[in-house]
Amino acid sequence: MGKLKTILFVDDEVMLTELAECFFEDHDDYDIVVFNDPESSLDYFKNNHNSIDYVVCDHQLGELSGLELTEKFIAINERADYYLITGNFASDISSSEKQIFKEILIKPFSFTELCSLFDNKLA
Amino acid sequence: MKNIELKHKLDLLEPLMGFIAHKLNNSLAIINGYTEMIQLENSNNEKVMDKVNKITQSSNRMSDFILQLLLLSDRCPLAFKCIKVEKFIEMLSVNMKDILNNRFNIKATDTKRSLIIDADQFGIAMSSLINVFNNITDNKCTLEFLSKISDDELIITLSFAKTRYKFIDEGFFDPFSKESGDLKEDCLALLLLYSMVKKHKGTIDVKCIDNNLKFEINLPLK
Repeated sequence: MGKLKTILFVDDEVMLTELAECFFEDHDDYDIVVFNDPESSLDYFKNNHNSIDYVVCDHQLGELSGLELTEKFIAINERADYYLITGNFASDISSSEKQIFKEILIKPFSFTELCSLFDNKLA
Repeated sequence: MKNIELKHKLDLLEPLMGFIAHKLNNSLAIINGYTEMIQLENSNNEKVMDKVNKITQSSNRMSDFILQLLLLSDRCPLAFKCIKVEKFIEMLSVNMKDILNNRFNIKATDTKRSLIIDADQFGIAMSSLINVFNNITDNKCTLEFLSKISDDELIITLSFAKTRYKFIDEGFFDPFSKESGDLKEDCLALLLLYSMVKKHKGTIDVKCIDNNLKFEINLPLK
């Protein structure tokens, strides 16, 4: 039986993306694709956006912020659910900008918590 | 460094604190993530779960510490909102109950007035102080919380009983004025509350009478 849903996970911290891959490696409900640089993730999304259900981005990705990257994803396909991970209170993001995200998670967050947010969608 | 005003010292250190907090947060996320997987894979193994619980407790303490650093840094600009005093005190009381159970008492007047505040960050700063006093007194300290309005200012008085303090010196809030061996566990929480009050253009004062610490915080309503 194939995986149910696909997650696109973007974080410039390599150990975090490795952790994400490890967590979802044998998961029954989700498949995961990870990227450490936003440009590569954008290229991937352009070619595979129809098969991506959840997009999880870190807010600080170097030259491009998680918000800016998400806006580029949405311009291609707004169907997916978009999540932002931030290490602070995301005070630099306006209320209207926050609207594009299903949830904003504060680090350190838990993957189990993330799955429960996805599961609400499945339910 | 000792002769520079505390607020200025904090301004100089903000970027460094933010950088340190960011790096620590990323490392903590990794520790928590793998700990979470160990928990999921060993839920029936009591010995492993005991050890994992110790890691979790320690990482929760680390998380609180990192949050204090973040709030002291330049990475969490304040988000001022208008909130009724009543609502603000209600938020604070939830935190007090979590930390102190029933070892606190609240008296508040003029609660229908509103103030402009970042209630979330201010609440965290206050909770950090309450939490650390609770820890260093082995869950024995008690708190009297008084609030009133006077001359367009919200005056909050926090009276902690059964603290370890016998006297306070000049530079009570200023860890930079102390020798490194004199720094105690509450230094970051004190600095954070001081910083938060100053960011809200308020004032904070403290007195020590018979092991009881009394903080008086004045916040402008507008």
